[in-house]
Amino acid sequence: MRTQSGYGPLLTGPDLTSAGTVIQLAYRKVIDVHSTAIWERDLFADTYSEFCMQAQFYDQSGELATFDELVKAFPRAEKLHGLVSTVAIGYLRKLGQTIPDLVNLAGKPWIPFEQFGFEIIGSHRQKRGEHRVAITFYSKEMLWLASYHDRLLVAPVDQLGLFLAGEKIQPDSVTMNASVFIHTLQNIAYDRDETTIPDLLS
Amino acid sequence: MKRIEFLKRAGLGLITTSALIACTKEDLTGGTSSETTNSEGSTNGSSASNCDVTNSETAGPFPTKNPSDLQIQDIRSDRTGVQMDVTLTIKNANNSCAALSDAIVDIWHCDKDGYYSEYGGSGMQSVNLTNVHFLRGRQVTDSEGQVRFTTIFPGWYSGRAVHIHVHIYNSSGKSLLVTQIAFPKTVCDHIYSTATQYYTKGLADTTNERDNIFNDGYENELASISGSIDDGYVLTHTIVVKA
Repeated sequence: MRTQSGYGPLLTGPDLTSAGTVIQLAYRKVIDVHSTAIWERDLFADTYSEFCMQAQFYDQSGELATFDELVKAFPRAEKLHGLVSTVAIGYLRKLGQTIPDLVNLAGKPWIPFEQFGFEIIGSHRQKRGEHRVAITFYSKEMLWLASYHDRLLVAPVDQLGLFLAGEKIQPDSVTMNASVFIHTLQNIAYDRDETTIPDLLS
Repeated sequence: MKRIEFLKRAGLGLITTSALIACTKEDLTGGTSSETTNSEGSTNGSSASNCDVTNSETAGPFPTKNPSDLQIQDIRSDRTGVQMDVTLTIKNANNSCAALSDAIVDIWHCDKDGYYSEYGGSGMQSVNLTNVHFLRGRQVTDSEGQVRFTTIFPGWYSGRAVHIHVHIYNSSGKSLLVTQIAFPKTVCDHIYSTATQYYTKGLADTTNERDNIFNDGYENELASISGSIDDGYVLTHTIVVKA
């Protein structure tokens, strides 16, 4: 995505009545035979095994070798996305509800997530190397404060009150790339003359 | 052996089933939560001469989703209902109906309201990491060919008789059998009409006889169940595969 100062972020709103923006980021991570991290390789192996097991629901013979062939012949085989996803859950839980790979300036992953999506990009019951899956991590809601270069400056949603009150808060940053996108975007209109914090934060 | 032949030979099972079929709603109302209800199910697999491969049934639209590192015995998660302890015995028709050890057994069923665990969806559908599944489990058979699960008595949904899905694999993950476990109407009706603090939909609207899956004969898919609402139920069932 293109990042532009002046669109959305809190810091660039009008002086008196501004619009804060709450965002959910999404990060789509592809795991395939070339993945190198241990947990990624384990997830690759386990999801491939589970795919081969569960595919037998739809075709015991194995003649329909690829995921695409299975889905074409048995539209219900679309459920293999969800069925195979459960093998990944144990690994995703071990991430400590922190999205991997997206690091702050200190090089540390920090973005919390609870929601994820799992997708079989492609697979082949006889060719392990053709197994590819994607996990999309959906961040918890965050305040989008500003953008600079390829980074978004963000802060926890519960910091908005302090921020509006003129207190110092410590933002963090996310580097955008082709695999990171804004999943949801919500404006929080507020008036600095009002003393109440938007309902979202109550 | 074809089912009809089996029915003829399994005289005791047939009599038991006929008795169950004869039970009506009126027989069952007014039960109490401490009342013990028992129902003998299939005797198939009890000996080498009574060892028909359990009927294969469609996996249905909701096959299990269970990672190897989430093999769990208590599959209730956050679901409430009358507790039910399930013991399944897997036997091998290719080995004189001896117990089959190291078989992988998946089970899944709906909750008290008739809902299955959500799917995790396809593609972009997001699900919550902390609460993604319930009432689905995987266990590996022991030297007695048995697996055990702690769960709840299933609810029901329109158009299907009460059931539990089972998928059995060998230790290598090769599919051996997809089947379903049928429930005796007597016990179902007692629970649905008495444990109304959980089960609020009344009696199931589809009997085994009218069910599209079981209506071609379900005698060797019928579970044995005993217990009470207060103390919970015990389900035992033997499934015969060719391994």
